[in-house]
Amino acid sequence: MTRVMVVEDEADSLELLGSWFEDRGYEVLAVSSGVAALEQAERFAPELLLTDYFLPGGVNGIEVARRLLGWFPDLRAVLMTGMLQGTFTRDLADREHIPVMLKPFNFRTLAATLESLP
Amino acid sequence: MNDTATELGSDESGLYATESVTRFQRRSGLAHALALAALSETDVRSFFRFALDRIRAELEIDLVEVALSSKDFRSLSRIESEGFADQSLHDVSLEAELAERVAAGHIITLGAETHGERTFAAQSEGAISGAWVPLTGGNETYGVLGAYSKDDRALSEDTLSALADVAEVFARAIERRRREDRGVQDIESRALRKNEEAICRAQRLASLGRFAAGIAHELTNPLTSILLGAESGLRTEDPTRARQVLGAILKNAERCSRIMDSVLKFAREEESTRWITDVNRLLERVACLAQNEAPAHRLKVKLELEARLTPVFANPTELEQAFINILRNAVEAKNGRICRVAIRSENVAKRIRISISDDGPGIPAEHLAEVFDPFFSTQRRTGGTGLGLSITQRILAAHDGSIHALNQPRGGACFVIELPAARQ
Repeated sequence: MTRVMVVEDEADSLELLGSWFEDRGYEVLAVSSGVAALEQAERFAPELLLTDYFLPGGVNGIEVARRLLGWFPDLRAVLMTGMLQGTFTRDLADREHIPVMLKPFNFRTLAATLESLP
Repeated sequence: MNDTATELGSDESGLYATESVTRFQRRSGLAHALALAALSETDVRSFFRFALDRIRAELEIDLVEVALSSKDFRSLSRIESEGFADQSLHDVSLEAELAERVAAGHIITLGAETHGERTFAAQSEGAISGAWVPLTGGNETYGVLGAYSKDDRALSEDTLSALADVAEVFARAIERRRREDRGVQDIESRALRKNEEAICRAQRLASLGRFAAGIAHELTNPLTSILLGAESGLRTEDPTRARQVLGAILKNAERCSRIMDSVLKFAREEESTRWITDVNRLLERVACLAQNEAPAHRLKVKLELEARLTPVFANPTELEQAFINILRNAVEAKNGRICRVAIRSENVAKRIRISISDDGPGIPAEHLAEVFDPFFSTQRRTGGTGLGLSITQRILAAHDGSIHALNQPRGGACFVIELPAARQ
């Protein structure tokens, strides 16, 4: 069972994403802040990370991905971000080789993005 | 799973300084203000000193510097800085790869964690992370605007974007200076100044674009929930689950329409009809409306009204809206707990003063100046639209009134509103 960590501060999106993964047989840990993600990552040891860029509490999605990639080199990470957050997020994500999924997206896009991961 | 989310999501203070906050007015205003200052300042170094000081204050950055590149980009020398204890000027040499990226005009982020091998001068001042924003004008990169932070939070995208705007202004100032140094004809330099005025106008338009981007960004999150919810609802065979996701879709669609509503109200600027208005009666009505609107009687309003309050000349519907937005804000800040609000009215010289204080978490000091900015919202998760208080401020300004936000000594926020008394 693949362990996926979903980090998103929008409660409804978080719940919907979590259920979608559960339905597909993933073991899911859903958290709503970057700090919580970092705190719980070690115990959970995610194999897949899906994180929003803007997160409350001062740790953004790229930070989460960077740190987790440091701890779990085999981790596959995907960053979610609003369409108009411009090139900065993309630049940052590109530099870290983290694929970006633009919001709003649907499950088909999510599935396609996950399939395209190495 | 929901439990985890709620538990982690509820901050002690109930107020979240989300990074997605669009500090639209203040930040887009900064580059514009600096562009104007650059035009009136003949000495480029004293302009930089002034500008760096403003950047530090407005963008809350610990250390800032302007450093110019050598011809081969292999070294950077600091010409002005703010916030550094060691004011002596420094040269930094760059490895080839980094020099190339500076030359190409890339923003370079610096951080102990991501670029452990990369040292930067500001580290000796206690900086942990930072960024070099290129000073690029025309086809040329003159150097970098360095911004560093003493905690390990990377500079937000918002801040980087504001810095990029400012760097452009800096580059133009350097460009102009170099032209003047080269003894370019006065006439040409005047043409350049004219050109800069055009750029200032363009910047005002750009800030409008950012306003639009703010709206779109606000809509992105509820739209994602709607899309995902609709797909889940169509797929599920379980009627309970279907109802649950329909509920989520409805809630998020309502949020979208509230956002659109606010935007429209914000955009509307027509002259309103005004007449002599008794603000006490208006406040009683507002208290009543807001209490009915709050879920499960979670709002308790106490009125302390001055018996002989001077009337004002106003549009009552607009004023009502202005006050209700404040009460809604107070309710939202309490995150579902009971909210107690005291409303006072009094005569003050030729004005009337209304104070609305709540027993919520108050406003973090660093956000006091921003609470009236469009899309400055700390309450996104409770469904705020990010425009309520800016509409309030706008209505009051249109009535020649004022509003200030402050924190009470014993906790809770207080909004102090003043309106001119109607001429007798």
